[in-house]
Amino acid sequence: MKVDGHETEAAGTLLDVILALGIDLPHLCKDDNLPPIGACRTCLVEADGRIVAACHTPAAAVQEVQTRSVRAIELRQAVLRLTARMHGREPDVSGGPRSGELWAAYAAHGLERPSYPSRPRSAVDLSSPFFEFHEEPCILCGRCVVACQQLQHIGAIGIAGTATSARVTAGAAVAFAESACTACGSCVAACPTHALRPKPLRATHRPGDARGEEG
Amino acid sequence: MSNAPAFALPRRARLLPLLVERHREHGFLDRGSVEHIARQLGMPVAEAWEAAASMTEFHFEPVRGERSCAGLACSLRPGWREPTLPAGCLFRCYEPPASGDERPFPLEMVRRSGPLLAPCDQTWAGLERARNLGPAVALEELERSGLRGRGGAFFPTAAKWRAALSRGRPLALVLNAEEGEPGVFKDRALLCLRPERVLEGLGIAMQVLQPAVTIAFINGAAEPAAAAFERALAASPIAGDVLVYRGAGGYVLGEETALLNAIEGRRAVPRPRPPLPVEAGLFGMPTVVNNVETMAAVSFIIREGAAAFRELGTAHAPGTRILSVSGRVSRPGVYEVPMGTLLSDVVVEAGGAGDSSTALLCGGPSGGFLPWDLAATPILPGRYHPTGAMLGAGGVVVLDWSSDIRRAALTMAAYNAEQSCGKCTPCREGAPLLLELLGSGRTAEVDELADVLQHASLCGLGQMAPGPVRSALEFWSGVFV
Amino acid sequence: MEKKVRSTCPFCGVGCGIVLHTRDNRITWVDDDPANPSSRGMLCVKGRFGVPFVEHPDRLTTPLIRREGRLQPATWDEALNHVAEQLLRFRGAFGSFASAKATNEDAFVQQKFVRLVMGTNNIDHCTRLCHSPSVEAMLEQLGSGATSNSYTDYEDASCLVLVGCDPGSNHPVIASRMRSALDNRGTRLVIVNPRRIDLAERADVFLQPLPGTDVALFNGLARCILDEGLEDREFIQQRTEGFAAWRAAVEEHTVEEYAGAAGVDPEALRQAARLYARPPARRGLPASERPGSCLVWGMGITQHSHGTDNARSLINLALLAGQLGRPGCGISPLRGQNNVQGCGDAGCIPDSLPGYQPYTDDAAALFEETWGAGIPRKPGMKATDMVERIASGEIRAMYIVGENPLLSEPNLAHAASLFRQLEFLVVQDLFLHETAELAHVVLPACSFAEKDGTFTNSERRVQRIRPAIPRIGQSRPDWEIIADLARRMAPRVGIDPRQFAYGSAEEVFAELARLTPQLRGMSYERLDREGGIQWPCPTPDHPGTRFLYADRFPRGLGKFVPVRQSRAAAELPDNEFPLVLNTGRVLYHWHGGTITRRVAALVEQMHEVPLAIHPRDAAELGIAEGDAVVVRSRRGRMTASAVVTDAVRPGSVFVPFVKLQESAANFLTNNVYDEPSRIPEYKVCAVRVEKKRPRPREVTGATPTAWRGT
Repeated sequence: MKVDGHETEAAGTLLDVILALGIDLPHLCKDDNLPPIGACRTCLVEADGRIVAACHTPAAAVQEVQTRSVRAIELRQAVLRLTARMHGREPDVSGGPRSGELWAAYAAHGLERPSYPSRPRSAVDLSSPFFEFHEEPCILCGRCVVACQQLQHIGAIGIAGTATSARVTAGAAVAFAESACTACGSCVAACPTHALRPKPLRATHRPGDARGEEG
Repeated sequence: MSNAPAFALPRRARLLPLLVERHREHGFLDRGSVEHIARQLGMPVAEAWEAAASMTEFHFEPVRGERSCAGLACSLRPGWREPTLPAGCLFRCYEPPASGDERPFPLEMVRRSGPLLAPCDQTWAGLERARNLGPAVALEELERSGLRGRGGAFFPTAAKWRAALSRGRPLALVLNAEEGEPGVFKDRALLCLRPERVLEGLGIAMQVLQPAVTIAFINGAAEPAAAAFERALAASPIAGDVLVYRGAGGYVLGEETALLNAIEGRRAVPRPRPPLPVEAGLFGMPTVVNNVETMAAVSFIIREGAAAFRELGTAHAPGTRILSVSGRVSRPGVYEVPMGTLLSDVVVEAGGAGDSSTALLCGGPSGGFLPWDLAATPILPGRYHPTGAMLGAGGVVVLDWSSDIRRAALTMAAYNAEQSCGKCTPCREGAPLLLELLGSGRTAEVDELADVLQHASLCGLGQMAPGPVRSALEFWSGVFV
Repeated sequence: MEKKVRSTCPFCGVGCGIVLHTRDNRITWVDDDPANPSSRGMLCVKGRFGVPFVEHPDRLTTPLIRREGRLQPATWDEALNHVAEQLLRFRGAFGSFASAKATNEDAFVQQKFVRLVMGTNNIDHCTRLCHSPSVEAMLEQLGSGATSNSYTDYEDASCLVLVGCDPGSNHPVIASRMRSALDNRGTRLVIVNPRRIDLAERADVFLQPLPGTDVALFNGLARCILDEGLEDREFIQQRTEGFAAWRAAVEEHTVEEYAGAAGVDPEALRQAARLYARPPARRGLPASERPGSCLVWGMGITQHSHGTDNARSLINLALLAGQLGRPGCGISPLRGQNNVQGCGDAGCIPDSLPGYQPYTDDAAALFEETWGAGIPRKPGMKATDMVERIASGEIRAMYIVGENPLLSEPNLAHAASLFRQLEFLVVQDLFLHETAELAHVVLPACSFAEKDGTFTNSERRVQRIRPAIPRIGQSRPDWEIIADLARRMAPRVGIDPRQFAYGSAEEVFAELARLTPQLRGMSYERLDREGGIQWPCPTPDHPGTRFLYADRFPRGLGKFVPVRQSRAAAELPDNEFPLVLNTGRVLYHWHGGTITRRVAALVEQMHEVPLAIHPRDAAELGIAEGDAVVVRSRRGRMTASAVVTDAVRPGSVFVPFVKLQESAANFLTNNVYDEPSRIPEYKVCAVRVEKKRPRPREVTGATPTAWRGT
């Protein structure tokens, strides 16, 4: 098959092939080691003239892929602008370990400020001693949920509600600390914005720790 | 045929039935009851909760009063006001305004009958014949008939069955009786009036596919249809072999992978494709999902032969199609017509004005509007117009464009925005924006957004969501400025 | 400056791959490693958020020497010269504990020092306190002491039988892999545990036996299999011996009698037997393959005065059902510490040389040739014996690396009185813990984040750790300290100091691999290139071994060993101490808590020791959720916070052995031992519980559901 004119072997999904060639393509809802979700739609490419999401399109069925056709770029730009709608403000990219992916993709597509009217959300969950959830930058990509349900098989979180009511939800709409969450942190690791972010790693520093006297 | 499902479904497959039961008993679901059910099934609470919360018909707090329909046909009635407890559609578009629970489909609303809606004897002759033919020959017969799926996507039925069979066993069979598209009530008509025909088709499919599990998934609100189906099932040769599931709403259940997720006790959202359901569907099994009308056609084909089926309709689209006609017509109801019949003929038969004032909504929220001068088009799979109007599931709402089109387009846009399952960004974020643009008259910006929805959305429902808006602007843009 | 360093998690025996992210030499984040075949991109709370202990201000930064009764800073030269002089005095009355948290390289140098320089085999480590009965039984019956399968076999199995273990708390990533099998493959699950652990919610059969009745329970299971003819006759005939005598012993009682003794429903016992011996095929198992069962156990089996008999009864069961030596089956004693497998592999056990090689002339020859000196042939003392024999003067000096026996030994008051009698005690560790406070010399060691080395996990996979931050203070890797000490002492005892002139951990590993047949094919170069490798790996082109015993057992035939239920425990409840105390661990703390007490978030999550008590007992004692309670045994007392839950049986209480707020379960536990293995009976002793004083439940992040220990 050919990708942007390069001959290459068709193995796995189009996204696998594209990333293996070192081509920069956003894929906000796709984790390297997790099954495709298909939610963010930021990995759109033109495959044999059709627009497809690279993350869940098998490479074997495709002969020619254009990641940088005008059509593909326009559509990705539009999807990214819709995604940015959910961001209230410029995020602190140093938040989570993988945060910053949205704004990197934004910049790579020549976009600047969010252009659609924003749809701000403001829920915050600080209940876990290990990490925090800030709904504002959450783009509902679902990576955290897949990490929780399909990687760790804990099932502490889901996405509850439909349409614009959909939100990342612990348990039956309870705080993280009251859910089945075991704080494995896979959701934090997976988050491409900084909606889920670790609290700073801290040692205890009270005197007498060695004797287990704290608390 | 075996007398019991050979395949024990995982425990979480009981989530939806238990939620539905609990909801029926108490009128709503609370946190405690969902937690209790999750524990009972040994499944994570958050997964049970997200599944419950993806069902738009579930209430999570007590609700008082009766819902009234805010669907198109009902809202056309003189003096209609936005109800306090609105419903997107109560599926009685033939007797507007509708409110409260569903009622059995009245026989007199079968305005034109055909092989599927005609009375059905209970000899189970088709099932007997399938048994005599054997699975392979029966499947060949079906193939010769040229039947294509009546859910709206028109995929060749025999090819679907073959694809599933080629993946090996165990496989699953799902009868899709979720019928959740506003303005469509033909599956309810079949289930209420001709359940034996549907059951016979289902039995034939079971004969051919030998599924490990067969599920009939019936719309949660369609009480009379479900009762009629279950009564007939109990008296049928496949009694005991079919699990009946009841839904809890959500237009997205029309997307078959979302339907499978609902059965699996998961959030009812579409899955990325591939794999197709016939490759890996219900709990990973190759899965055939067929619509009620398709099954009824299967019964006719095996009873009367492929040739008899092909005598109706056109060479490329044999058989009949049941249209659900409502709106500004004097004879609303279901019309079973041969494929290829002119759309305008059916509208006139139903008593529509049939002049330049007429606009048709064809294909509901996923379809689009059509002006009368384009209505003399044969009823066939696919689009009547590139902007959106299509046969789809066979819904036809007759309107007067000058008085109705603006509200109709906004109603459809609002429905699509509300019914977005919320999974993919273009549909979740784009559909409400589309409504906003249309409502505020910023029609120049619609095109770009409609284009993203159409080409970037994950599932067909999102991809087709711009149809009503686009088509309305194509033909009557002046109304929106 | 930002860096990312691939390494291996330092907590439990699962051995998850981690990537340490640092900024300006501080650890900022611990990422998972999807390429790691043991963890596949998973981590648990301790691996992900529990590493700040390495940067705790309590870290020892200089050697300390006790002067005028107080531990005072010293230079390395002063400290090591002092230790050298003192230890030379105590040759012949010396014992050493190695650390299952340190590397294979650390362990290897330590046992070499003990054997070569101190001239004794008195070296042991914490396996004595966790899986020594499993190792005893496996060596006796099969000839090798390791988990036979890989984690991937849990996903390939058609049935998982979990006995006396709580992977959800103690091996969380293994629990995740098991849940993935249940979710994705319809794998059956049997749980045997006196506590209803989290995974029991998913079980097809959950057996909740009376404490200490394991032999009866497993003989009962075997009896069901025999009664229903579910045994694997071909396997028994071709691969085992001793079947007839064992069968006769098992058939002394009926299934009903066994079930009655264990306090379980006989029908449930039969279901469990059928599922284990002949499980229905999981989804996706090729029709040509026999559905397999994995038998997985933890310290609920071993920490009893009849722990070895318990383990034997399990191995008998595996031999009977033929659930060994294929993909998707096997036996797994889940290892507790990150390198408890490797510490034993590297020779830190009193009864064999590295690679479990016996003290025969044949086996010793290679060592003596390589090391240029003779090694003692007399088996050494086991860890628990070393401690008990301080009293008799047989042990007068000890060198303890990375262990805190004054938290982990049973009957802590008794243990502390013994340690105080030592004439010379060296403790080498990260922190000044309870044992270190009694030491004459304390040596500061590096943490896993500051050094090179290898850990061997529960599936025999040898994996690299790599330095991510600079050494804290003057701390040094354990192997380096001991090698330095050995070089100072060697000439005085006729050993060539060049035997300890290692320039790097890699050089140590090369020698370990050369001397250990199952590691011989491994090298840092290979481990860096290929990732972790599972032993046995005898040659450089050998890919490593996924499961053991495909064709034969190391001892030849597998051996059935008849076992009979003895007294349930050395100490059973009576009027004065009416409840049975069961101890274990929790998700949010690491064993005794020496490490995790120093991680702010983990302490916030759980800051006092919980005690799980059945609602019936709680009601009788007037105890409510969150009440402070006092627990007493004949040996000591502790305070805890009550968690009222029917996850424990009436008449039983459960307390994790973590020490928080000066309270620890091992003040209560009984220092009686299983004879062959010398493991203490941590799992059963008699206690009395009473309410301390009423107080409101504190509002914290911790809740009963978040506490996965019950």
